[in-house]
Amino acid sequence: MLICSPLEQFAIVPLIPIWIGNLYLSFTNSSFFMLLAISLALLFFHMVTVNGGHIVPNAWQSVVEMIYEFVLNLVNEQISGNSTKQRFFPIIFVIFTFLLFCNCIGMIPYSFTVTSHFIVTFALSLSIFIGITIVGFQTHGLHFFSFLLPQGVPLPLAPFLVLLELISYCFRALSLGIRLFANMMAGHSLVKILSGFAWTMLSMGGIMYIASLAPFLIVFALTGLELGVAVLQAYVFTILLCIYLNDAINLH
Amino acid sequence: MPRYIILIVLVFSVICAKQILILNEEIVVALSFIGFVLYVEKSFGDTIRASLQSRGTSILEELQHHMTLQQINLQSAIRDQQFIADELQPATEQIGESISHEIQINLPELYQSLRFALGQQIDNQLNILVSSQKMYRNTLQHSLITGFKEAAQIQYSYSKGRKAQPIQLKQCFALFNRNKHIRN
Repeated sequence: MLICSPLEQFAIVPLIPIWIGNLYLSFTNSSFFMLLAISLALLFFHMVTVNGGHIVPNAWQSVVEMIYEFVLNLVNEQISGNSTKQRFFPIIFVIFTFLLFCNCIGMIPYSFTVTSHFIVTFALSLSIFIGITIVGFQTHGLHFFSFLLPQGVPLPLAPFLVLLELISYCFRALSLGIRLFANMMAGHSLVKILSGFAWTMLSMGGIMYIASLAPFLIVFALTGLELGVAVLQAYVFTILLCIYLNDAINLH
Repeated sequence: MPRYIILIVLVFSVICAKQILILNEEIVVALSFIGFVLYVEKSFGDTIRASLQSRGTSILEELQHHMTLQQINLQSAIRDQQFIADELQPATEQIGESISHEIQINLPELYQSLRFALGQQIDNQLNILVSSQKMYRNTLQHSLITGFKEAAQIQYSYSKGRKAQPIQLKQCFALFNRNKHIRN
């Protein structure tokens, strides 16, 4: 009986190996599922809004409109100021939709969770962090550095606080990526471990055959929890993005 | 329904036999996922469907309410316009009657005064034309005299036969005066 490692589900498998000189760029299962998530999202939005959609929406159009209104309300609540925040709505909406679809597709058995790899989440969070910093400097110039010194701080503490704030600011890029990656990886690993218990008990036979129901029910409940976490982590990533953007645009 | 179950079992058996689907713990994950989805669909499917449909229904009701309000506003505007039209109609009729009565009474006088005014206009224009004709005729005559004198002077200055000139010049003057008398 072959027991697979719970980390095998995160293995990167090159589907189409591509060599450009010494550079190994291959089309992997991660790329495939990213492409699948984007294609499904685009297809879904397109099918629902053919000919501009209906004035009285059907169920599917309502889902799309609810996603749109949800992100719009998020942007309006988190980012203050009227003129600048609407510029960032498209990218925030795209990031939320991409993460939502990637996480939900990862929940389907025998598929691959794109966001369970740190390189993906970190690349996303780092690029967003660099973009937000550029926005901050474009909006405020060198005055953006005043963000590192909160108001009402005594002058002797200023050097230490600036250093702490700088580290905290730089760590935002890391924490944003790590949060999503850790939640996805831990959740899927836990589900795989518990299902491994259930399979082993099922294979033993006898009383264990009946006792395997317990881990199976736990896996059943954990599937629901993981679906909730998948949606929630997309929301948390997006809301933190809005908060960091608000800090860059409006400082304190 | 039993047909679909038999079909699913057969497909599953073939897939497992051909080792396309390897029976391991992932099958437990798959079964729990399918079971969860079916459970949610059975328990909350109607609620979710109803909430999505209620959203559409509320939008439809809001649109219908808005259309009804628009209809009421337009109907009241039509009624107001009709009322104003009804109020104005006798007044406009009265005005029309008085104007036509005035025209009927004053028509001969109006005709005479119009004729007199038109006659005066025509006379004025004719006088202007006559005076301009006289003016253009005098201008033409003056131009002819001036041109002839200049031409004669040039001929007298540059010709060789000086004796013949006074005769020729007298003949030309005589011809010119005769033409002048004819025109006058």
